[in-house]
Amino acid sequence: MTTDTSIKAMSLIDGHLDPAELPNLVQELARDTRLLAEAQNFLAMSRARVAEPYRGRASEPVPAWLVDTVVHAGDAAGPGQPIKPLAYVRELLGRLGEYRAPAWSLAAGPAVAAAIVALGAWLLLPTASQSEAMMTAQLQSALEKTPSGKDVPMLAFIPTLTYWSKDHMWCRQFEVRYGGTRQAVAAVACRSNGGSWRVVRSASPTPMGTVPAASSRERIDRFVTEDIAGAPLERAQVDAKIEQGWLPLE
Amino acid sequence: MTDEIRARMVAVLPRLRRFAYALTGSTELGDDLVQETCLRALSRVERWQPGSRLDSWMYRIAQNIWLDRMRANKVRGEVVDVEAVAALPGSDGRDVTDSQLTLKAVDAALDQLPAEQRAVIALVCIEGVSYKEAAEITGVPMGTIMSRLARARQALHAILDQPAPARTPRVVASKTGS
Repeated sequence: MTTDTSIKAMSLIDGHLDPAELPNLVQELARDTRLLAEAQNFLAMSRARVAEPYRGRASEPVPAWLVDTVVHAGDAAGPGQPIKPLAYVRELLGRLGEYRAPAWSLAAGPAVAAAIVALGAWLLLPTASQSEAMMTAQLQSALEKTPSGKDVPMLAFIPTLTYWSKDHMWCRQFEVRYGGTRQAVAAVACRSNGGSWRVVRSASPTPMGTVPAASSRERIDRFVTEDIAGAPLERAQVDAKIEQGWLPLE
Repeated sequence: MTDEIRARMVAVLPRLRRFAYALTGSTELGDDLVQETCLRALSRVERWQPGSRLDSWMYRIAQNIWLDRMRANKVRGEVVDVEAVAALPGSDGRDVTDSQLTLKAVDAALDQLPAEQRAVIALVCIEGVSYKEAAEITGVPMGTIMSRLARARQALHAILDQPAPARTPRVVASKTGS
């Protein structure tokens, strides 16, 4: 049976819950063992865990005949022409998100598990779920409106680089530092034509002030190097984009 | 038709193949589905709105073709796919070690879900689309997506993580080859 509350628990696991609803939900999880069990089931079937076995599937070479279908279907010239778009496939393969299965202990007691459910979805999951969790309304707004180099106190959100991507989207490299947890995440989000920002690559959370943060950032830097079309925007240009509403380049 | 649209379709192929594989549980059937999806998309490319997401549009086409096939198979009677039967969970199929799931186990578990639930798991959990995008792709309200997803996850958990005796293999719908 699915109830509104259990669906909220699932939304929490997937990072789609309205932050305002989090305190009430955590309280309910702590006092309702049946609901907690449902939440644990959702956690056990998290996006990251279900996706993990399929991770390699999108990296497999696409059969040439399938590419040929797209390139030449309806083409009077027919097959035999150079298949230029293969370069796009190679490019895409380098960008597919990385998933890692969380090492959850589902044997934890109810109170601990409730805390894990609440914290896990929002702060500590080094997985795709975390990327989703980061896309709160706050973060959407921060990506849309924060000048480069500015620190947004509530979220500790710091955009570091803004650029036009090879996929024809505005993208922003940024760091998120979660208040009180001493965790930092480096990530890149891109803006769809519909106006929503989506995290396309993120590095695992790393303790603040320790060496591993650099390697996480290096991975993100490498991604940006491959993704960027042209030069990154100067601060004044970023300000102008914020002012103008992120109009696409033509 | 511009080369740019074809190129963008090619760029979607790796993820579309994974989605099709998650729906069909078979590389061969999945690639067939991808090919049909591409042909249909190319024949109706004027229906795609520039500025909207090409991948979502192609996911939608693939899902619709697959659901049509599943319904047709139901009418015609189910056909055994040898590869899929071999992968059904049970004493051999339950390759769950610790918290890590295997492709074989998840494939077999997905195969036991209703088609609509399987599609939403493939979209949200495997392809990572948002609830809203999944609603747009499947053409159903977001509340329906969420309840389908919740039921599907509970079912997957029951199949994959609960200790249970070996199940009786269920014959699955598949390509007839005709």
